[in-house]
Amino acid sequence: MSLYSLLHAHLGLTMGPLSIVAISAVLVMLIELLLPTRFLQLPVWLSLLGLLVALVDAFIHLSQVPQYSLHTLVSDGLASILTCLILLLSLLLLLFHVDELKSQTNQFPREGAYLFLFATAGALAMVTAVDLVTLYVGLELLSVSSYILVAMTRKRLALEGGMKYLVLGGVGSALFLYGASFIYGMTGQTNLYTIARMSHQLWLLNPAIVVLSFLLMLCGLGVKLSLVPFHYWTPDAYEGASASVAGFLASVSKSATFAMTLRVLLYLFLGSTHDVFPYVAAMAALTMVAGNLLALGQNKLRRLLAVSSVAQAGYLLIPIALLAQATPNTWPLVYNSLVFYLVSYSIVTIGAFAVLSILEQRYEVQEIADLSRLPRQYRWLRAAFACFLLGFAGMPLTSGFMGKLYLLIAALRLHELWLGVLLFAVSVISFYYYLKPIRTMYQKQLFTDNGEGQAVSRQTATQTVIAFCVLVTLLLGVWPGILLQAFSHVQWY
Amino acid sequence: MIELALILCLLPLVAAVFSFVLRKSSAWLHALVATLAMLISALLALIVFFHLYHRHAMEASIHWLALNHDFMLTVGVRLNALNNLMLVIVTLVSLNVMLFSYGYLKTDERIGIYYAYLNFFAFSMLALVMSANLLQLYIFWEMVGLCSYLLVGFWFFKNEAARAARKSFVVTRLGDAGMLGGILLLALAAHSFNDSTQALLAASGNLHLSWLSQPHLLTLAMLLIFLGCVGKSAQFPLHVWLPDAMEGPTPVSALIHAATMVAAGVYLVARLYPLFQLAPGVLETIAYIGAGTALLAACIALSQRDIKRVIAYSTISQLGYMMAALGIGAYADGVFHLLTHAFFKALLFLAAGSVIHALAGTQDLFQMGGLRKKMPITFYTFLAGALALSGVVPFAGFWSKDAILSAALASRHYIVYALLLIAAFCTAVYIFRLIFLAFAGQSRQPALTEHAHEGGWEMKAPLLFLAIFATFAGFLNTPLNDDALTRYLEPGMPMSEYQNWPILSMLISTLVALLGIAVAYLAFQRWQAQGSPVPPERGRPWWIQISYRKFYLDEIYYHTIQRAGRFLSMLIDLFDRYFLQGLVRLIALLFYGIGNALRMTQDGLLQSYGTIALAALVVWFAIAVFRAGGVF
Repeated sequence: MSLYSLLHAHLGLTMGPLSIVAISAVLVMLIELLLPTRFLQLPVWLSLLGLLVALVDAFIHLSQVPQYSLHTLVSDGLASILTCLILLLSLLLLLFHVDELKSQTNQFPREGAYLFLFATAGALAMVTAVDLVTLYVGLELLSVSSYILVAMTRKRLALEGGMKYLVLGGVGSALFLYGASFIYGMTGQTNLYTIARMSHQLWLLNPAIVVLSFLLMLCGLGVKLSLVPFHYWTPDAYEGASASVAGFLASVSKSATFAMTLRVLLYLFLGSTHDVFPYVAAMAALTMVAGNLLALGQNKLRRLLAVSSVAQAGYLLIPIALLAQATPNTWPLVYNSLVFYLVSYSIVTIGAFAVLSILEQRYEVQEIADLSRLPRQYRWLRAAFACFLLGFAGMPLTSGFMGKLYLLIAALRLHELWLGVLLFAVSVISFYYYLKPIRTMYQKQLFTDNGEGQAVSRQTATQTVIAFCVLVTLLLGVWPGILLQAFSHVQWY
Repeated sequence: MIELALILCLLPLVAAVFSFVLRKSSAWLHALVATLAMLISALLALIVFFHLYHRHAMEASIHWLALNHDFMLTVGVRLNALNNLMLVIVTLVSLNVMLFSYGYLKTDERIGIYYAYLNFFAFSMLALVMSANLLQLYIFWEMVGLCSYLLVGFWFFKNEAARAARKSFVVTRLGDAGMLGGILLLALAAHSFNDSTQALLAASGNLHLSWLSQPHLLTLAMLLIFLGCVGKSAQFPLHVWLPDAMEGPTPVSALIHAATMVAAGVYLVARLYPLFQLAPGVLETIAYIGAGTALLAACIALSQRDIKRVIAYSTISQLGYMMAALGIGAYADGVFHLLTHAFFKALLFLAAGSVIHALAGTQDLFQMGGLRKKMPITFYTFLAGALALSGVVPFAGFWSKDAILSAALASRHYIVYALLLIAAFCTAVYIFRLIFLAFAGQSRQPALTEHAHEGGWEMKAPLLFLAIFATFAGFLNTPLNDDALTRYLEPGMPMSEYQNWPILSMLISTLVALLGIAVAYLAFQRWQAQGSPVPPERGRPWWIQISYRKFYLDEIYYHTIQRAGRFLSMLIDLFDRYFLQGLVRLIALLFYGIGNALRMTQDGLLQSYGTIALAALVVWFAIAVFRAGGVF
């Protein structure tokens, strides 16, 4: 068998997008090294090209039969759908990152371009790998790139946020690795499928160690997912990072980590004799409640979005907590509701951060109260921001509502109704703080119009991203069937 | 075909968006866009109608939302005999109204908004008619209600208009609440909102819940749904909103009364006819409510002074005929009357609009007179509509009204027949009273009528067009052509039932109509010819007073329901203000407190963050150790 056919047979499907992104990351890094300094945007455009090719590749192979290659990578439903999602999200983020580069206030170095690609490659590895080592490598690739991206602008806040993220993220990685090492120690295996097959024996062997490793891995991932009380790095990192990087942390990083969490917990711990998933449920409840309460008193937009992303992580944890009651028959329900909410939440998040980047660059908006400075003629921007905030809150006719509705239905069908009820109860609180910026925006103008604000070149790319996100938010809110219909054909695992 | 139907339904929506976005542009542009869109829609509706004339129903749906693995909400389009016919009626009437509105409102500076509402109204009605399931139908049903609210209150700066709009919205909402309950009940039992599925289940006796057997469930659900129809189609006792809805611009009244809003109730009964037939007792109720409403409204119309109110009560009365027809089992006749009524009632309203326009807003009949010579086209078209309404051979109303009357006779519903026959007599009287007062003799207010003249061609053309329909539409369904429409609507019906000429019934109803006209002539033509002065407000005989005051129904409602409602709302307000609000404040304060306490832990120090994280881990371990059934 020639090398080509080997590659084609095994890697074409499972590794196609991943390798394309990784190769373009290396290429962009080399090109950037040799490029004269005046080509500021070229690396980003090259990165965008790489992502686009990868996305097309992933999209073409979407309907193929799942493959399993090298005992490491798969292309099952979760992997291929999340690959598409992550590539799309990265594409959107890089697109409005282009405008950030142009802005003088930001001073974002162009090296960011390939760091985004490396981080994306890490995220892709996290969703396609079924081997603990590969998963860990993916996680670290994503995390390390993110640490640098956060601190990249070298402002005081950015450095502080990056530093905190680095240290706490390191703790998280260590906890995860520690937990995984117990599993390896007991089974001598790192492959998830193999461990899943011997999962039952594992529990018979020494349940205490398994519970220990479960909690370690959950807390380790909890740091990355910013679950309460491991969320402390979140507001600082989001505040310090540039808008696109914060959006990246909130969408791509979170999507990949949630997919990985679902896969790892499901494969490793399902044959349990001791029910471990109530810990997840408790953590989801704690995160939802604390996240929403924390957000009530926030005055800064960045921190508001950061804390709200903590609360959203609590919602996203619900399907995983539902695994306690799920049987293989009802697994698709868990997958459907999680992935639907991920799509909805990520799109809304990216839209919100895109709006925020325009607001910050033009009007130096930081506090919620600053929003009243927005000139009257910015009605589209205002409407878009309102749409995203309502999407976060879960207003009917936005995708957020449908996502929450599906979480509720899943909770109902898997007999964990209290989680669904709690979800809607805390959503009521969330309306309060999401509506606050909207109210400020639409209040009577306290100041006279101050024209165009900071002189900034046209932000066409950002506007495109915002328009796209609004469209998707409303479309999924009005017609969620378009996605769910497709999901019903997906073989998730 | 489905695509064509979708296009014909969406065109008005596009026009609505256009008018809304460009609401500042000139009036003729709005009128042009609206009329063109509706013209294309009407053509498409005709194409769909004739293409599917001899075929089975078509239906296409997409999944909208999966609530459960066996409960899918869908959105879809259904084209069947009834729906296609409704599409044609709605688009044709709307087309005329769109054109006429330009003449009526071209000086109004908010005409862009007006056309946006009007188009949205038409869109909602078309979408309602095409809906493939009851949930979708309900959504558009509410949108139709919303549009009528907006249009009736279009001149919101007029106090009466705002009040009338609110009244129409609230009263119809009363019925809608019941209707939603009925729809949900059916859906709960059938696991589907699709009414054909429900009808199939009901036909096989499988439509029931664990706590409710099929006959009871159907009776309850259909009565609730009928409540919605009572509200929308202005049947007794929820008819009070319709006359007040006259406060909107007159073309809107034409649209509401002829083709859109009020027709929706009759349409829904016709659409759910298979279910109604299986619900014991409900059709009887419908028949008597319909017949009673027909007579009551006709009596009220006898003495009204406002030209639009006369026609409005006439609408209520005619809707009563349709309901009665459906109630006694004459399904096709009811729908047929809906069709003819749509044309002649739109005609009457537009002609009345033309009169009001000519007299600069005067609506009092006793101020008019002698308009025949000033406005010949309006007069003759109005006459055609009036003849159709009172059921004189060979105008449209004759064929459809007589079909209902003879069906009542044939099915031995003698009480219904008697009520409807008396109502027919009153109908002829009140509409010719209107004609004699407004058009005949001399003007009583020369200053007012001196400058009266016809509107422009955009007002005359719809009148002529509708007059042709009001005259000839009856021939769609006569014994002459083997009752073509009946056969189209009820293909499975045995031939024998419709092949004989109901000569006796035809004779009686013609006589009654002529008698009514004669009475109107004797009472008003002579009076008119004498050039008598405007009669005073007081000193009417008591029987006219009762009719003029609409049997005091408004007063009764005011003193019972509204008073009770106010008292209740006051109690609730007190409870709300002093108890709930305090509670809410307290809860909000609590949440804020917890949130702020949590925020205290965010002290910005990395070491404390790490400590908290690790402490949390330890807590989890401790829980695992001490948990019941733990493993340590």
